[in-house]
Amino acid sequence: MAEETSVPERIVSRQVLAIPQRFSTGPVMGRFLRELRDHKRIMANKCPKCGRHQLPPREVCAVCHVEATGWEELPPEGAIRDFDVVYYASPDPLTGETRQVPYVLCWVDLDGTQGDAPLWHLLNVENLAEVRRGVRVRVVFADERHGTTEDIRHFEIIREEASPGAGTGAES
Amino acid sequence: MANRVAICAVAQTKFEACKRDVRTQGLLWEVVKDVRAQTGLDFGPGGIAGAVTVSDDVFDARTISDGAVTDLVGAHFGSEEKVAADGAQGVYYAAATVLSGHHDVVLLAGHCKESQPASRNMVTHLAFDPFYTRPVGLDYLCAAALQAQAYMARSGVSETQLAEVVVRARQWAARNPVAQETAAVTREEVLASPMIADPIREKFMYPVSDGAIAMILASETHARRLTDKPVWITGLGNCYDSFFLGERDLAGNFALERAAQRAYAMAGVSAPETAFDLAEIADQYAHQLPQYAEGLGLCPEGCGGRWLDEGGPDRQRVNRSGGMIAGNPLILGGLARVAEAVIQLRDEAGERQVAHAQRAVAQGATGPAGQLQTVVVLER
Repeated sequence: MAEETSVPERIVSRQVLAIPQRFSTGPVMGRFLRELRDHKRIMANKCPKCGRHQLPPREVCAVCHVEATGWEELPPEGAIRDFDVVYYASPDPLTGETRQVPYVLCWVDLDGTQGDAPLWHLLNVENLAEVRRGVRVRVVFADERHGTTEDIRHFEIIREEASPGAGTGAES
Repeated sequence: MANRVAICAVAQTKFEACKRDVRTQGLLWEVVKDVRAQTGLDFGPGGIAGAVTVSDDVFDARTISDGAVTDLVGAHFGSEEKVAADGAQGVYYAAATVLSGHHDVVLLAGHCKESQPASRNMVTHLAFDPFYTRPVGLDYLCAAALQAQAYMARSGVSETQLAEVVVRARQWAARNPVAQETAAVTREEVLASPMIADPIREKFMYPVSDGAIAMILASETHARRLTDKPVWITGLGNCYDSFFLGERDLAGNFALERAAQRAYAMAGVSAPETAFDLAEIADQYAHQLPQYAEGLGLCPEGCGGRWLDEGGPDRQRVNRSGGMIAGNPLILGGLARVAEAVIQLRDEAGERQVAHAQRAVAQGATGPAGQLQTVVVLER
């Protein structure tokens, strides 16, 4: 009788998990997404007690535990607070596709806020050396909007404007 | 129990097939706000010191699903523990938090929107392992059907009897303002409903349901301050059965019997058939009403069919809420049973009130065919 050799099994079971889902937004997230889609407006909600913004808007102020009933439109410009350059993107589990790398993800303090309304999105930039904390950026909205976070296409760096009176008419 | 813990407030949303106008956070906030208003409690020192939440990662489509609700339960700067199981386990957790002296006042809050996934069976399919049981198409519905086949054969329960279970459930649900399925049905209508997984017909199943439940649990000193109608948790027990269905006696109640024994020993209950003024059973499927009644000792083992024929559910005042079969989402079925027991023991059940209710038993189950069973004894 031949001697049995011990060979570890290396069978791999490959599976994909997918469950189609639908999520109701409720009135608070619903207003945020509707304003993005219909008016290209970035709306934060506000705590009536401490005055703090919440972006993205949520039902309840996490600090005061009261309903955040106030609303305020925020300007689509601000300064980069934190950013990261991603060189190795996670693949989409269903398609196996990844984002083009490198890409820049950033958190932006929108103008007029006190660090309480960070908007996060991708930053579209050719030269990575330009990306620094404090660099001023603006929101670029998608042409076709559907009431999702992708209604914001990305941020872009605000270039030095031509000096006043130069008459370029670039700001039409 | 040396120390005592009481449920001091309960709030439930109306249970509905699909709450389109609210996201899960809004749903949960409704009941959290309600129990805070009932008790006057705020979060933090002197108020709600900790939270136990109940939610499911796959229904919520995010891992660590409690992360999405910490703002709402005061956990933003505090403590929170999640139960990824039936909310009756959350009652156990919250009670243990109080009895251990960890916190005096605990918020218990659970939510589930079964309407979010395309099919809840796709969710419960994932509760099975990917190698042996998923490939053969198991989900909680199929597991319950296997359980029903085994149980009905052993205990002599007929399809007609199960139809009567549904008819009765609807009659009581009509008197419960939060119940989902309140329209009267006839035995014939139930028996004519489509066969889904033999012997389970459509109307033998609990409906797809959305809802949320919150409670405040507190130590004795605090309970007396928070309410003049504290409901004491006097017994708690739980037990797991084997993960693999083939290793279980699906006709029996291995886990439930042990969970009940543990809860009854703690509460000093020796004759469960007569010990309770009311019982609430998480009957996800119609056959589970008599089966779990056996497991809780409300009737002798193997006698569920006779128990139904002899009016056991009415005599022992079982599921005056309408039961889970009238509609609660998966992980809130047992928590809703505890909620109903509290409402009854507070004498606040209106048209379905059990007169002079002093002691109740509530049961909840998690996993396929009631793998994890939780039993709670409550007294006024």
